[in-house]
Amino acid sequence: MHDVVSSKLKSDADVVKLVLVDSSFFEILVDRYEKKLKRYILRLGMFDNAVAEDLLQEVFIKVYQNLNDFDSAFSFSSWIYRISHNVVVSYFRKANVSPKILDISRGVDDGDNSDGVENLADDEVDLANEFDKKQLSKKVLQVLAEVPGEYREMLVLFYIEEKSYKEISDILKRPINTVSSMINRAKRKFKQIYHVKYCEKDC
Amino acid sequence: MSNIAKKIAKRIEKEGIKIIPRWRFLLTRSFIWVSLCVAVALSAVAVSMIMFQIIDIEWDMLPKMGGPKRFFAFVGLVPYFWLIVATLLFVFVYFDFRRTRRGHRYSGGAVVIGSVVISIVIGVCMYFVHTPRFANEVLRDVPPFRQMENMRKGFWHEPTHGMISGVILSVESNKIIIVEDFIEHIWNVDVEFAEVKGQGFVPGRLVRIIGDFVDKDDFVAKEVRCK
Repeated sequence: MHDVVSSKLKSDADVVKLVLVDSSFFEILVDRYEKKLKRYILRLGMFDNAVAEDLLQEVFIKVYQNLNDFDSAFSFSSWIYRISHNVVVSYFRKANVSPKILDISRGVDDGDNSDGVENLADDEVDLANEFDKKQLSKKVLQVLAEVPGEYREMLVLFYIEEKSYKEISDILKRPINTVSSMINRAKRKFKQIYHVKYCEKDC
Repeated sequence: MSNIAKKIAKRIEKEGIKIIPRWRFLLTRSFIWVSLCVAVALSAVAVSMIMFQIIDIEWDMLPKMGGPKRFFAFVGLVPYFWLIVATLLFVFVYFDFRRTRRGHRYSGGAVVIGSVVISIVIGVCMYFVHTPRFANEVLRDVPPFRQMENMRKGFWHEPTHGMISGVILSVESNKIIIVEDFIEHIWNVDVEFAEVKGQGFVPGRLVRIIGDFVDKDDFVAKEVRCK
């Protein structure tokens, strides 16, 4: 029954209204965001799949508890990504650890958006003719893992999660101008690392 | 139902996790906006006090003061207290505004400039409806404020250099007014030939008098500025 409702209700805000009446419909939101958020959490620096799943659960529990705080004037997607960001940041703070290097193979295979990685490759690295896409994606992810945390998150949100500046501004609670300049800086950092890592040998 | 969806549903049921009621979020949001409005109002009061204290400086009297005192008067009359209060409130407004739903979308500069401009506009309006005078009346009973105010006023009290400052106690005739200065000393002031500026002699009103020192209780006024 939930599948039928899910296909009929296009907007997340509609589903939220439904969940507030009957909590069993929360499953629709979980289905819609499970993969995206897991990929996002993994790319933010989680190495261990089990920890990523625990955090994902934590995210959905927080989403469920705070459903009444969702303002339909904003995008639900930005709101749920914001909660994920907060959960990951607070995990790092509590565990007193920094984001780790990404698990490259899982990064490519697990998510449903390896195109996002290729977006970053197309935009920042002019090597698409030299390598096949999968190979390039692996390299891009490897470089991405070495980009400092804050900049990495910008690149992940912009290229992999394909969020607009406004959405990133809402997710990270930063002014739009700051987001735009940080993305530019992140791109420069990415290019620098890529060139040091690969171009000195291959380019 | 996916595996994670099942786990979440189980956890919600097992731990009895509930959706937080809307009123709690509304309360938090309201608290942010109320504190923001209060901070803006207080910063406007601070701005009006700064204006009041700067306008209150008798710039033309500064040269009449003795050399070192002129310097200390110039430095001492800067309304530091209200400048600090206003700055702290602007900082508070900045962070409080950032906590609102859309606060993060604006640049730090825009928020700071916006809050300063709003406070100045409201502060100027407050100045013209005599808010600083009222605030002074209220704060006069608070010892640290009274001390600070007396220190400021004390700069205008230098009898041997031809300046006294105090409150009119009574008006004896067209010739003599009785003035109590800030160290509670009583002066008989001859105002017969004095030029009077302001709203005239009214008991309880602050006056600054320029003239000649006669003896420890008597002063002859050349100019009286009624505040």
